[in-house]
Amino acid sequence: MGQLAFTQPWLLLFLLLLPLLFWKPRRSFRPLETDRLALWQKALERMGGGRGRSHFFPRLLNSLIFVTLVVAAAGPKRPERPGVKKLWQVLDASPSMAVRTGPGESRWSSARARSQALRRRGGQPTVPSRSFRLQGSLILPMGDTHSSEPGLLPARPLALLPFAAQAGAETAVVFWGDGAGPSPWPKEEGSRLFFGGAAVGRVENQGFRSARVEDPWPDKDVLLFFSLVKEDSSPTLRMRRGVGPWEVLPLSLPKKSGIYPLRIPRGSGGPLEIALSGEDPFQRDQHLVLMLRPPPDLRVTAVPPDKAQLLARFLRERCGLSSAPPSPSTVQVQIRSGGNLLAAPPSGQVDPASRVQKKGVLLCLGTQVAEGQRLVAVRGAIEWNRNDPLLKGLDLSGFVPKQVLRGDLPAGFRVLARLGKDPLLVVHERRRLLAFLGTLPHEGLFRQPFFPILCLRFLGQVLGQGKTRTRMRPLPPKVEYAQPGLLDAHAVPAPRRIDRISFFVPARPYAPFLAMLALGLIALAFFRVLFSLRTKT
Amino acid sequence: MPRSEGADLSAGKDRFDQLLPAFLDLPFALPRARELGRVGRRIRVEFGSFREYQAYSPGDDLRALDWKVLARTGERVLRRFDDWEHRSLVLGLDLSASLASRWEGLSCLLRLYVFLGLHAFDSVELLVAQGGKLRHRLYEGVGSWGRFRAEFTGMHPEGKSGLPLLARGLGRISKRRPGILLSDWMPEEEALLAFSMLAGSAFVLLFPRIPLEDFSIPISSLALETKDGARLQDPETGVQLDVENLVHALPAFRKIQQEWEASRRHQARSQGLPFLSATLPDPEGDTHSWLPFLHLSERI
Repeated sequence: MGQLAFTQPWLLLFLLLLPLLFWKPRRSFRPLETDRLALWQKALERMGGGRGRSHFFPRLLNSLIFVTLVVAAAGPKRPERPGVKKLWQVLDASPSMAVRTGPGESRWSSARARSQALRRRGGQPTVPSRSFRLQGSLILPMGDTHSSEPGLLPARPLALLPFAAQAGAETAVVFWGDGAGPSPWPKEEGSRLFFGGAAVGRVENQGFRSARVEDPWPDKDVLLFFSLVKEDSSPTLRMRRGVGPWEVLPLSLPKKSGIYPLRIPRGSGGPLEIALSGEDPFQRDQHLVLMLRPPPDLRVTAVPPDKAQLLARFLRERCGLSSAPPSPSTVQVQIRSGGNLLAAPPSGQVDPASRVQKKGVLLCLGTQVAEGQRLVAVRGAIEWNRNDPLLKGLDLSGFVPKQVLRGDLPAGFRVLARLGKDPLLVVHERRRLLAFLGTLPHEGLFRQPFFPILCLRFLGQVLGQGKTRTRMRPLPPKVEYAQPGLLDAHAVPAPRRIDRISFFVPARPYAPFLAMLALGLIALAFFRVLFSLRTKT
Repeated sequence: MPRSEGADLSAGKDRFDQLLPAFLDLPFALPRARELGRVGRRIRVEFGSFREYQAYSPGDDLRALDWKVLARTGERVLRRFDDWEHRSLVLGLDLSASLASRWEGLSCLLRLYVFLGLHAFDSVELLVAQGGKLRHRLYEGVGSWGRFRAEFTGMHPEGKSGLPLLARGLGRISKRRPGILLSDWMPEEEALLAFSMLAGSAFVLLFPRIPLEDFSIPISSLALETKDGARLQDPETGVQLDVENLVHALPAFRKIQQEWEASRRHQARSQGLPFLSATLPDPEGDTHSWLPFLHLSERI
């Protein structure tokens, strides 16, 4: 309820006379003893009162009439409230608005509902409202036939600036969009708000400048996965941890969108913040998804337990693991018994004395290299040299890569598989040497179905009569889960709440209404007196 | 007009006391329930073995006169036997403080009933409930009238209502003895409780109303000022009720009072009890003004 003003407020002083209506001259009552009080009470109630009610009601009625007349004479009115007299609402019609936010609800439907709510709040008769949709760089008036769904072109909000400049000073231009990047669809009335006549430089909140994600594992290396839906430009990203300095990410993002893992070395802790290399904010409709997790522990089951010693001797004598591994990778072989690590030579050193096994042996094949750089650089599937006679009988057929080997290899080595540009599987010509020169992320195993099969068959040949399981499944990775909500990325700056629009409200007098009310009360009092006279007669 | 009743009674010059013997000549007797006839005898009846002869005194029952002795010797003697049936009247009185408004007439009515009871019955038992206690008084023979008159001067309404206590006491004495119960029958729930306790007995329930409550008495004769308000107060509970215009509200009250009496009468009848109501006359009035509280005697 707005403020209340009076044209002649001094007339309200007459309300001070109101107690006179309730003033009752003190009368002398004759005391009378009786034992029929209950019957007297009934009699008074039957007469229309009881305990003075018959006299209280007419006094209340009279006082209501008096108050109503006095207040009406004082001329109450709601004063005019200055504010926006026109409302232009622009809905973001980019494809991202079709994202479903709930059952039967999308961003587009939410935006429409909020715009209609805003229109209702302004009041249709006093503040006329018009709706538009921003489709690409075009602002189209929204009709019933064209407003059912968002369009196919991404919206360019910069087109709003000249549009808003056309609006008068008493016109509010409201843009309903979903924002960009990881900023969630604002639950409150968060939106971008332009007032008419705003200069270009004053238009703010075009998008978020950076995205921040808390790091629940500040003491260990983490993998940062992010995807960026870009437009034509190829931005350079920078990253910082906590309040440390910004570092440009050594990424050259391809044009296609996808998920890019990035290994972040152990740092000083604190939240990770991703931003564009410059000071510019992300463009609208750029969609940045951040996901943080520690690197998985890769494990592959393979070798029967009684062959562990044989395998260790083989690796030491024939594969040359006691010496420095061939470049460019470092080969690490771990031999496990159950969950216990029996030996993990840092550079392939294997101690056969500690490899007496009873139950089973896990052969963990993996490397410790700069995964992020290499993987991103060599992103793609494994290319097999399927024509190599060493792979004959391994059922690899039909594909001949153009470039099998790049770089120098020791004499007698041949590359059987490559991961991107790097050689992945190198086998000696005598079929006695095995080396892994690539990175094998656990997530990629399903994309490289031949790799473990190939390794195991090869080892089976190496170990002679040992039975190897060629059909194997990777063990579930060790994943550390963080608290729910801790890994959510937040846009920086946070989505701004819409400014409160104060709509124009015209002045409204209340005196006629009060006069009608007083008239009704007078009629009520008149009929009451008439009815009481009729019952008495 | 307030009366200094106690002083008059103690002096023995009460006009109503002087009026009482005149009631004996009237063909009217105490109100009785219909069951009274089948329960007791009208007069004292002696039976059993012969006990003694007793000298005749005027007023004795002539049926006990030994005619043979009279014929033989000319002396009038009465034959007395060793067992007899005693006839007594039980009078119950709820003497709570709320009775104060009708005590002026009710005290006369009580004296009238005791007086008639002492002459018509062998004894009169008076049970008075007052202040949560039940007092029991027994008056035997006409000669005990003086004792009653002396004790009567100390009676005045006070305390809470003892109607259920009184009904329980009356029921304990006897259910087959005639009696009269005087009360204002308020509050209603206690009245209904008393009705149920006395169900099937030979009691007459009597409500003595005052002229203010009688529909047949014109308001103009009540000496009420037209625009006078009244502050009604129940002396038992202390609750007050202001009536702006007593004359204006009186017809409605009388109508409700009439409905209330009809309702009590109906409820008492459903329990096999006669419920009588009559207006207390002016204590200065003659004997005929008290006839509504008496029944036509069967001697006629």
